[in-house]
Amino acid sequence: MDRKQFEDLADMWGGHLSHWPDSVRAEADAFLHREPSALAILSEASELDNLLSTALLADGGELLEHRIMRSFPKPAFDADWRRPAMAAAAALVIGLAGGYAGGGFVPVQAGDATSLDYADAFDGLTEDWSSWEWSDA
Amino acid sequence: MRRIANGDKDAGRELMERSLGLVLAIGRRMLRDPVEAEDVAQDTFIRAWKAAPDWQPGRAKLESWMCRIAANLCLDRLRKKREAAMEPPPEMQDGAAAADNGMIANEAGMRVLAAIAALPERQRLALELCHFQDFSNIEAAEKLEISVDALESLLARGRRKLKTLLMPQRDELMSSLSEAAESTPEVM
Repeated sequence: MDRKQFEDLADMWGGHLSHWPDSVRAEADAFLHREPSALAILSEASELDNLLSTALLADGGELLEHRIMRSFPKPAFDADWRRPAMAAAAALVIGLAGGYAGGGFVPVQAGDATSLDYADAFDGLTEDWSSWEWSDA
Repeated sequence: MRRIANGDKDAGRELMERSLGLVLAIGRRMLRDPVEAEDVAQDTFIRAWKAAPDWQPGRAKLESWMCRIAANLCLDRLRKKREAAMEPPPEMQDGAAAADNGMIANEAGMRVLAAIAALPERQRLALELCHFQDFSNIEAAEKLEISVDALESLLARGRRKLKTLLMPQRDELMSSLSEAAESTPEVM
């Protein structure tokens, strides 16, 4: 490798040998060690690299960030499914507990006592059904 | 990425805040159209979020991976434009016009962007892939569908032109960059 080739490569690939193609790196490294002026060539190429790096970042602003975040994919299965399920379960438990506890506060009506005797409702049937016949039989 | 794969929007936001500046700058350098650059940035994040379940840590740096997605999306757009024989991408002779529309992080960056924007498209793309995205010469040549020799010729011409444009203003640019760094402690 001669100086001209080294300069051409620095023009192409910049001031860091690590960015140069594998095929020329070893030869370039050897040239760098035997030719004192090679360092100046790399240094100048590095300055251009540094200047180019100033265009590395752009500022998109909040509007763009907001727009991008609106595109965040909704999961196919809502990972936070527990929240509505827990709310429904809590409502059910509270409803049942309230209904059970509230029942004790309802005053017993006078007629309710007889209604409890339904088990005995057939007690009034004294007729002997075994001898009963259908009138239209 | 695992959190993103689980639908964690905050994790998605973190990734966006970390790499939006890089991704957006790629679009602006390659497409020279701030609106298209924003579209590409959005598409890049949508792709990255969707690919989150398949992300394998250790294979590549996350930011590098994002940048590659963005660069590929830009190349696709440029290719489609050519294939559709639509109007060619605006080849602005005055690169400053493109830079004016793009909010680069600092004054020096805007001037450098203007210089890059003034390069012919092929030189600009070669520079983007090889300098900014660290593509190898073989990879970049494949992406641009040209030979390695042609790629290296584009790259050399592009960088020489930038050297001619930028090196005379080097001190001014570097001092502008220092001022920006002082006023904005953290660029990322």
